Amino acid sequence: MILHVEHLAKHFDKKQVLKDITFDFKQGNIYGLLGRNGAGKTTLFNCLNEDIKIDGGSFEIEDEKGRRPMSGPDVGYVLSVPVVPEFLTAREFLKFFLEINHLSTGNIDHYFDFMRIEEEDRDRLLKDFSHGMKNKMQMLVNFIADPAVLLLDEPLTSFDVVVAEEMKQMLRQIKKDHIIIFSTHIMELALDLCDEIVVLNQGVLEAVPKEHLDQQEFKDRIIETLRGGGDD
Amino acid sequence: MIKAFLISFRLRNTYKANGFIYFLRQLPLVKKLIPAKAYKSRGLKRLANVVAWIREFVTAFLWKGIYLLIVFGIVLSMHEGAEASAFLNAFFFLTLAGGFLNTQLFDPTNDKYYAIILMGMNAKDYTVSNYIYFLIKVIVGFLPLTCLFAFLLDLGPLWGVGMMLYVLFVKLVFAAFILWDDVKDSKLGTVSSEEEKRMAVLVWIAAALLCVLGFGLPYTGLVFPVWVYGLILGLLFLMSVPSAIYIFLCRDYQRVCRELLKKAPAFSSQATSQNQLVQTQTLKRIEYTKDDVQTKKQGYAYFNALFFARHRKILVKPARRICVVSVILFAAMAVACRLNRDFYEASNEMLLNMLPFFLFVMYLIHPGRSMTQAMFMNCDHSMLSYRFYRQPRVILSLFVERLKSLTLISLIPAGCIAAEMAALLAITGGTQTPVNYVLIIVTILMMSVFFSVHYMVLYYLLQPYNIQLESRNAAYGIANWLTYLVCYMAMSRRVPTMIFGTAMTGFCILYIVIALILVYRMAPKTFKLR
Repeated sequence: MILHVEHLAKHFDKKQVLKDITFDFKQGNIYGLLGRNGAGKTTLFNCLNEDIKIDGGSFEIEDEKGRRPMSGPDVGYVLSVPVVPEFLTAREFLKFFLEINHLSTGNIDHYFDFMRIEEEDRDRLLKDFSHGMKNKMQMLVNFIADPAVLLLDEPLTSFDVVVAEEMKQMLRQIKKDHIIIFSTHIMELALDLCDEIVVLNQGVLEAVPKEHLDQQEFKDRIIETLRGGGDD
Repeated sequence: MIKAFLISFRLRNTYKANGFIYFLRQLPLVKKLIPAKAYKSRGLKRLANVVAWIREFVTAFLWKGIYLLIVFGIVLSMHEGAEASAFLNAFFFLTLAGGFLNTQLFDPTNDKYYAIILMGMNAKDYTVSNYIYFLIKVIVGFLPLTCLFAFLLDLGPLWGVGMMLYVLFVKLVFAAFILWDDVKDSKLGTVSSEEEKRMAVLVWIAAALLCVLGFGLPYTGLVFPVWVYGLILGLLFLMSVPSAIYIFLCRDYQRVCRELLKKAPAFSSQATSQNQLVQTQTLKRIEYTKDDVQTKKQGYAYFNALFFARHRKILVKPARRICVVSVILFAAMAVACRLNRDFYEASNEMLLNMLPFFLFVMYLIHPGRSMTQAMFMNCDHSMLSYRFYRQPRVILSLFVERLKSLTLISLIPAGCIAAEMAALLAITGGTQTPVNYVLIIVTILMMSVFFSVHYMVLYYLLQPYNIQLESRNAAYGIANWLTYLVCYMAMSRRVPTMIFGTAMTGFCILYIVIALILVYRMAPKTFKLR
């Protein structure tokens, strides 16, 4: 399965945030999306999730049945600020989510166990959850929905080190069936978790090949690309 | 200090000018005319500066003028024949209330926060220079006005000067006292929020009491002789001298401001805008309930049932309170009708001619606005970022569920009021055309349904917020304001119930049909995060 993004463009007022994004994202890979502040990483995610209208270009999924436009169920989007319905308990949210996705609600606790959400937290209102716990819930429903493409916007920064490590393991487990695009500011995290680094700079997306470089040389090359002086 | 004042004044103007440009850029058509770089435009900034100076000049006189005019008007209508002494009495007590209600020195405004906390301006220079400016505005603003009212009341011009000085001294004494209290608190540690709440209640009780004394005391025949006013002014002068010295010499402004400006909306990084504060408040209104009643429901019906159950504080409790208050009012009116023949006749006449008044009543008691706000803050704000939630089918099915729940709950107090009105009509001699009973009941119920539909439709068609809770649609605010205006204007209209009831019912039905068609056609596109 491949996500083809071709000539994607988006501007706000007179600012051209995404100029010409063309890239193929392949199943089985975690892509580390790096970019400087305001480079347009969230805008790119918002475009792929159809939260905002694009000015031009296209994005399509290619699988065994051929190429088709990407639709709602194909994408899961985990925002950096976790969003959950605050008036529900964790169990109620999950029950609701399973029902509307026509999945069995028989064993909700199984999902909580998978996500390592403690028993005493399962029947608490989500408004009383910490930032990290809300993020876990958001991740969980996105895992359950099982979309082909998973967009993760700075998802691990709110977790403590133990949970962050667990999440990394989970992402590695599920990556073989998905295309995961992971946006972050933390280069070490990207290098540790991601199979490929892509840099968004001046509205254009480009891969930074590791080739035969050692870790430090690779970092230097990424920084160079982020500064806008990458190889042409 | 003058430099500090000028910098702070310019900063405030820039802040307000940017706010104004931001507001203009939210308006549907104007938006296109003003580009993002308008913030850079020197011409616009200069214009905003001029507007700010004009605003300063106008507010120095306008609010004070309106305030004195209102007091004057009330005194004229309440105490005919003894206007001068009643005016002085009211002015005396209300100024005392103003002394602790309107304290420029202690307003935790955003511009103060930016200047003192973020930009590190000297807190004392900033506060004292702005306070002097405030006092100058008191002198310049009040003096011509108090002299004018003294003249209108046949008092000498000395009274005008005296009144202005009285305001000035009261402001100084109270400001010094509050400053002293804040310095004490900031040294001892922060005051608990419980204590603050208690203080706020006490302040409002004291203000209400002073209002009652201001307008009510002349009824008891008690009038202060002139020498008492003279004595009080003299005493206040003596107190205001050390007060002013304390205000100007106090060294603890930095500490007091740090404590005080924690209340500025811009303080908390989690609450950078007014709307985020509203969200924090709205979140607090969620009340946990067991979901045993809702377990039979599924999917979106389950989701909606839980939403309404968890927001009982906004819906059921106020509805119950309105029912109780309306029953008490009804009982009181029924008793009054028994005891007083004039009241009996007036009530009957009112019921047959003043149905428009109930449009305003229904506007006031309808929970639609707070409920749609809770829908956004506590639910849609999060859920709209999920794609499944934005599917047209989902938007419409949830709209229907919500409308049903909102309508049913708001019909309870409406039904209560409608039944009481019909019963009151019967008690006060009834009507020759019995269809009026039906019309009163149907119209009041219809108004309630109308507001349910109206608020829901406005919300679904003009959902104004983005994910940062910034309002991005001025049309929503304008529509809400127009709703208020129309209902308010209807209040004083006297139209026979037969005509108004029929017209209102017809209008409501038509409006509801059109609004629902619009929602079905447009909401899937308009109901989104901006």
